[in-house]
Amino acid sequence: MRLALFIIGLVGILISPWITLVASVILVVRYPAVEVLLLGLCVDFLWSPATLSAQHLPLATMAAIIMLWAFDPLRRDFLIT
Amino acid sequence: MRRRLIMASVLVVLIFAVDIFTGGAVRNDLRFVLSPVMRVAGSIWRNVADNGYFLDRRSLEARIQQLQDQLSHMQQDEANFSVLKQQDEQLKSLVHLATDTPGITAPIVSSLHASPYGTFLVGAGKSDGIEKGDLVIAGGGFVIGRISDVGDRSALVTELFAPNTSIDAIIDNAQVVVEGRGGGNAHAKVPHGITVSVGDPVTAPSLRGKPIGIVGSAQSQVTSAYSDVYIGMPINLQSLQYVYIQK
Repeated sequence: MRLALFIIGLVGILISPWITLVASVILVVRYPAVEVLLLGLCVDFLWSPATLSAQHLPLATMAAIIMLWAFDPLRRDFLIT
Repeated sequence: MRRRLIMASVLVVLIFAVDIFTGGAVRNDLRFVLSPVMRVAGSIWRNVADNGYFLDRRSLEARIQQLQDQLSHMQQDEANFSVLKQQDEQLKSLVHLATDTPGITAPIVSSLHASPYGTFLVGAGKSDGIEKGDLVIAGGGFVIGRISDVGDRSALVTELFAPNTSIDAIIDNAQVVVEGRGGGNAHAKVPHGITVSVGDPVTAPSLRGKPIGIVGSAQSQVTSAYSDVYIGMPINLQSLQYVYIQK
């Protein structure tokens, strides 16, 4: 399931960011999924220019880091796998 | 477990820093690897969509698309006429400045839906003489974006109307700031004294006066000093397969 969600997220990078976002949210809610960082990094590397300006912030990577850490306490308390 | 999260987060930041310090080497390699994958994925998707399984829905969609294209063509013709008229007047006064501008035609290799940043990839890069900042022009002469990152054989285009971007433009001889909304759409606030009608061409002085869109609708409110003007492209960006990159 975890691998399938990761692959769906990867495919979503080439089709629509919404697919990647949904796959990432499910991953971080259900698992301690560090691979979400890879998805965020891929989105930024593929679709954003290599500059660090206010217009071109690595939003996907930042969102992945925030999601991963924000859902960590929730996972620990309620979704121990 | 927490240590793993910390290590992964630090690793991602490090990879990002390495990419930035090497001028985008990592992302250029990634794009180079994924360009053929995107072409194949697009071809597979088209084959799946055309195999007849979704025929009823698809025939309706095709009809709608055909009518939308027809409408787009008519709007484009009308806008082209206005643009040409305007350009003709300008050229008469600036004929001595007219020079030929070289460029190349490049295929679009990614979906225009795929990027959350209003960007897309074209199949031409440094090896074709493309440089950062080159203008990307669609059929009809409308500028749709600029080259924002260049690899050896691919380049990233940032749409002119990407979300959270703005550009100075001219509508009916009035200078306005046009704010991108993504998907080839933009918004501008125009003072009440200026008459704006649907179909008026929008040009950008910073892009050598080239057209960047047409007025799709204009709404004015009595309580506001400005009219809301919605700008769109007279061409269907999703149906574009090739663009002209002006150097």
